[in-house]
Amino acid sequence: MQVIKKESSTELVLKILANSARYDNSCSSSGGRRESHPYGIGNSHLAGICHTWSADGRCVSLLKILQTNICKNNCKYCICRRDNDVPRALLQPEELAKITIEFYRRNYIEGLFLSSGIYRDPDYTMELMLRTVKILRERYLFNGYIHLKLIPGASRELVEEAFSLADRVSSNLELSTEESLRRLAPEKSLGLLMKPLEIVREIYKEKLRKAPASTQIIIGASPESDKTILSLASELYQKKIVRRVYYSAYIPVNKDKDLPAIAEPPFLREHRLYQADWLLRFYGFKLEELFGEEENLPLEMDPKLSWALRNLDFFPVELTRASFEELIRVPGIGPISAKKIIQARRFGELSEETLKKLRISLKRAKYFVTLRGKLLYRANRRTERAFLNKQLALFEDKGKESFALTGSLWKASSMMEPLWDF
Amino acid sequence: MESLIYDGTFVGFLNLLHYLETRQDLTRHIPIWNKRLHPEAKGLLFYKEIPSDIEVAYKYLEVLIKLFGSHIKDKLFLYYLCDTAKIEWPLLKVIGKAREKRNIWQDLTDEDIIKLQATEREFYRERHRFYGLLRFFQIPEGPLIAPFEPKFNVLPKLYPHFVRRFPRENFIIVDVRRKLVFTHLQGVNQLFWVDGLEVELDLKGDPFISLWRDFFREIAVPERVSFKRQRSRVPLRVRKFLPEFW
Ligand code: SF4
Repeated sequence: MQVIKKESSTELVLKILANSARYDNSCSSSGGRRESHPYGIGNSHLAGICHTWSADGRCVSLLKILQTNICKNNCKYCICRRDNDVPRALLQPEELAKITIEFYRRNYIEGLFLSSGIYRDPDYTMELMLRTVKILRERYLFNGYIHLKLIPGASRELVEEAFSLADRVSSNLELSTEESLRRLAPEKSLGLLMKPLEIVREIYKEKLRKAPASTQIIIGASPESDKTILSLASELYQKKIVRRVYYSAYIPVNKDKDLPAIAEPPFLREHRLYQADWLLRFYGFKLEELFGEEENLPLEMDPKLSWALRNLDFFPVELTRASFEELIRVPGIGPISAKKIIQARRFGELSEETLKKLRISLKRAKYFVTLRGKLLYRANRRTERAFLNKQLALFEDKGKESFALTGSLWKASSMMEPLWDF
Repeated sequence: MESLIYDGTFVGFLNLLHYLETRQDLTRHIPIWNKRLHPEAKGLLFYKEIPSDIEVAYKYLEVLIKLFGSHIKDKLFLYYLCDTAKIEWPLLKVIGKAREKRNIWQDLTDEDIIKLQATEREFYRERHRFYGLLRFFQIPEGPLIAPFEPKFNVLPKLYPHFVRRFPRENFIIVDVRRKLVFTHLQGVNQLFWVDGLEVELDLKGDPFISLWRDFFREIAVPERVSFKRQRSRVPLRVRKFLPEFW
């Protein structure tokens, strides 16, 4: 193992530690509410701020970095695992705090996202990270955003201290079953990874709100289905243990017989999981509603459209009367459009013209809504028929014909339901 | 066809609105030029320069406040800041309609309101974008300086964010296009126009630029690279002052 010594350039150390941190997806800066100190620097903005977008098109908001990539654990999916022969480095708390401040003053970043490999033992690592954060908070009077990774196995006191200093904390569960953890991350268990999150839940005073914590689950390194993954996520939301679950498509960085051989990382699956997660958190969907008989979300269409096609008796939704909750269940209508529709209804008759003016795209929604009882599409138009046929064909071949004949989804649904067999 | 030119100040903008309201014969096709954005407009053959008369501006504003309440001031100021959006006519039409129908400002079905609201949203998006994309450069032994070229005149609504964030820093923000400058020096805030600002700054000398560029390169996940997505988020027009794209 090549350890980069103290005298090495900050550039090199930063490169190594940023590179090792890049696979962590849970890196947003929203939700913080901290005013600046009159003699200090920094505050946090509720809405979150992106400071740039990296070559992968992802928002860069925080200085996402590891304190060290030296790790005593041997998780098979991780670049920092003990057995890997990669350059190792450690940033001293003083130095990391200084870089954070200098980046912050130049408005490169919104704050710090600090994680770490497990160096010596969990408490030692957590203390090292806390030293960095304390220098920032106490010496520089830095009130910018700080996200701290809680090191599994660290003592309750250190977890409490981390929580009191950070705007957000997280502990990555990584895999959603005990069995998979045993196989791929032998030093870890669900209990161990959940512990810091549970401590945070206990001490977070606002019991009715979700704790300002998050976690990440890797998708595709182990055989769990989307349903298993989302049921874990939904349980975490219900118990208010985390505010957000991040999903990270498995990207092979190591070779190991226990890891799946994949041609491409499952980015589309990751995307569908985020969409489903969004439906759980903001659209009032229940977990069971997101799945038919399959255990995985369909990749060919988003989970809302998939739900709509399985629940045609819910449609058509009449735009002039539907409630907000009904409107947001229509594919293609989100909370913003639903609000606009409701507001526009107060000022007179809703017409297709008004909807157009409001820039509400009916491209997808038109198949699922009526306006004063009138359909908003003509089924004999080739493109529209093609759209529906494509979607329906994914479910049931016979549905295609029946749809083309009746020209209306819900009519087709009530007439042909047995054929569709959803 | 005659063009109208105003000096790009709020007073000038109010004078312009007042002039347009009194000239029923003008159509919405008449070109309007903001001198600050288009100094070249003075070279036009036929143009009428709208004077920036503070008395006219005050009186006009007072009339509008009486009609619609004091919030109209903030609205007008905001629309003034949306200086590249060409919304003078929709704004005038709404003011006209509002004389009959007070709650027109909330009427999302009105075509002109839709245009105004869309512009407003765009303005705040632009401001939010520069909360993140503004870059400060350390001048040796001097203050931090942040040049930028926003689409709208967001600086008057942008600087409070940085004053709150950096109460103890000395910094300067320059809207290079409009030659509008904000300074926060020894805790004192000033916002002013500077005509003839031609200072050459060596922005590349800041020692943290290379560290930032290293970080920026390393943080991208190679398997996810998508320059298209990156371009849609960081359009080329804003990259000039972003060292990570140099
Ligand atoms: S404990 Fe964390 S850093 Fe260490 S090998 Fe496992 S995932 Fe990687």
